[in-house]
Amino acid sequence: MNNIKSQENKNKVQRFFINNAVPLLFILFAVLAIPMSDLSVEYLIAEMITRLARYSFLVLALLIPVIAGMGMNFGIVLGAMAGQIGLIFVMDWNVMGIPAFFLAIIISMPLAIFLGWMAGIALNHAKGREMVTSYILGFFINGVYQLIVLYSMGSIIPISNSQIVLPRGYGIRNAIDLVNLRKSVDRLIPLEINGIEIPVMTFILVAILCVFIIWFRKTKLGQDMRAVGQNMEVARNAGIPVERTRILAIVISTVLACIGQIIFLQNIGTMNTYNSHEQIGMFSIAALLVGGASVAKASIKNAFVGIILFHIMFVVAPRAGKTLMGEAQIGEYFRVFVSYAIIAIALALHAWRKNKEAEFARRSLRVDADAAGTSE
Amino acid sequence: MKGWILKSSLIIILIVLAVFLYIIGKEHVIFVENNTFISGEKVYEPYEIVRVTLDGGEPVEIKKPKGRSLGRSKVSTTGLNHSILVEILDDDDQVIEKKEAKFSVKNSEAELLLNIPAFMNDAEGWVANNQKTIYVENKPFTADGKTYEPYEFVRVILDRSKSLEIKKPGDGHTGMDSGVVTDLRHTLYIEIMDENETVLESKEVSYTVEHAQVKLLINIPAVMYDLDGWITDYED
Repeated sequence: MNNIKSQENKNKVQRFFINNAVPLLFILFAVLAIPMSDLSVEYLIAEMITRLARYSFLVLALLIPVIAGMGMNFGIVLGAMAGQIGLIFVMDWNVMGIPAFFLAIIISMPLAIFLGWMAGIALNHAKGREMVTSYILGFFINGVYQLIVLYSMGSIIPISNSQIVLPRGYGIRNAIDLVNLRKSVDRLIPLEINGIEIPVMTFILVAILCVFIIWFRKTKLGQDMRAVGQNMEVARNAGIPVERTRILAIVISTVLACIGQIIFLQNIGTMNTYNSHEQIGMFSIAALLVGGASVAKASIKNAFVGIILFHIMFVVAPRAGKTLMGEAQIGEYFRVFVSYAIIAIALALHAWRKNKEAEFARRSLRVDADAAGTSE
Repeated sequence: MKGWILKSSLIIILIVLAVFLYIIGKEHVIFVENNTFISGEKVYEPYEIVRVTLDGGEPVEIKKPKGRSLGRSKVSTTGLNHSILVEILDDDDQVIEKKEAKFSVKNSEAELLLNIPAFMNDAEGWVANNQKTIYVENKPFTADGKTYEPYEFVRVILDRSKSLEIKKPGDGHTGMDSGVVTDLRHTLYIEIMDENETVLESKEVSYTVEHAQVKLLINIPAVMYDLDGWITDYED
């Protein structure tokens, strides 16, 4: 009996380490790198607050497709592109402040819905390979986006603001100074604690999204998504419109990513027209995975833990690299390499964890059978 | 049916909201100037120093133009309705006169010019669109019974920045083009060219427009022959 209990405890510990391997690795990294970086605690706290406000919406946008069993939605870049198009129009019309923020959302939302719907249809044709499909879809739509922004804007689509149009008269400049709406949401409710600026309004928006996700999971559609995520065939037999539910999951995710990108860019204050959206998918997914999420399970807690851990690495790595190697560039390389490595490790871990869980399940069945045999 | 009504209502609400956000959020740049204002025969001189508060914001002090000082300040505002408070100050920064008023701008007016001496004297055009549309025509011009013919091909550069290329009217050409310039003082550079775009003749002229003038018409042959009436108000 004692033997069985100790075996169970051992399994629990083992399972804890397997489930939290990536966050634990990052905590270990942070513990080692923070003292090496010589950065003050105040500076790190200020940076983390800024980055939480900047990235939370984008990372939380990934949760709904995970519920629907579609894995990490690399297609959030589609939403990000839609958001950027909204921002280009708002900048062209010289709309300022909070009205500019909401106007950009209203303009880009139909586009985000359309792109999400299109992505949803494509992903329904690629069941089981959603992640790689959404990743490639991102590249495809990026090409279309570049074509529209580089050639159609200013020629077919009327854009007249000389500050955003290329000198040749058409096409959008590489970098747009978002002076009209820089930190307009962040500074709507001004609050400063010990010299650290708190973007209260952005956190309120993030909180609203968290409440929405919690509420959404309990709705009929949310339950349908969970059922679809667990087993599509069973869900279909239960009368759930599987394809429609999956499309809705992607549409919601894309729209949230579109809003998230607008929040992100108003915080940054500059938009790289042709690059800003490109790495959003990769960085958001990496952050979520660092937080302990997997392609099959992700929570709000994972999102916040992930953003903090991932961005601690972002802030600390160049300085730690400089201390260790005498060159900040090494740290820069390190953090880019690590963000891609995390995704690879997390995906490999997910497959390994699945095998382990199956093994645990078999073992516990065996233990139950042994216990039943002993009692007899 | 109920679903469609709901969806349509939602779309209409979003469109109305977008229009509302556009109107309340659109930036209007207001150049507040303490400069001489000429309106027909009347001339209003600038004050030594004025303090201007727009929409209850941060007050700006504007001195009389002197040396490199232009006697103006740029203020960004949003929305259509604004308030202005002007205080005329003496050497000890004491208010000797003040005046408050409300004014509204059109949504299409991105840049406005607000003249303080004109405002204090209730002169018409104290706040006017600072963007002037210049229509340039390469058409026949008649003066003193003589007609000056248009040129085959001219290139016009407005304020050394905006280039217009105008051909003689006919063959699908209207003989006219336009460009938008800002402010009151402008330059016009004209190049008369042949078919191979070789410059045959060129001329540069400077001109000043009045605050209230928003659309102007310039005739190229008249400019080249220094004829009176080469610049007039444009009528649609």
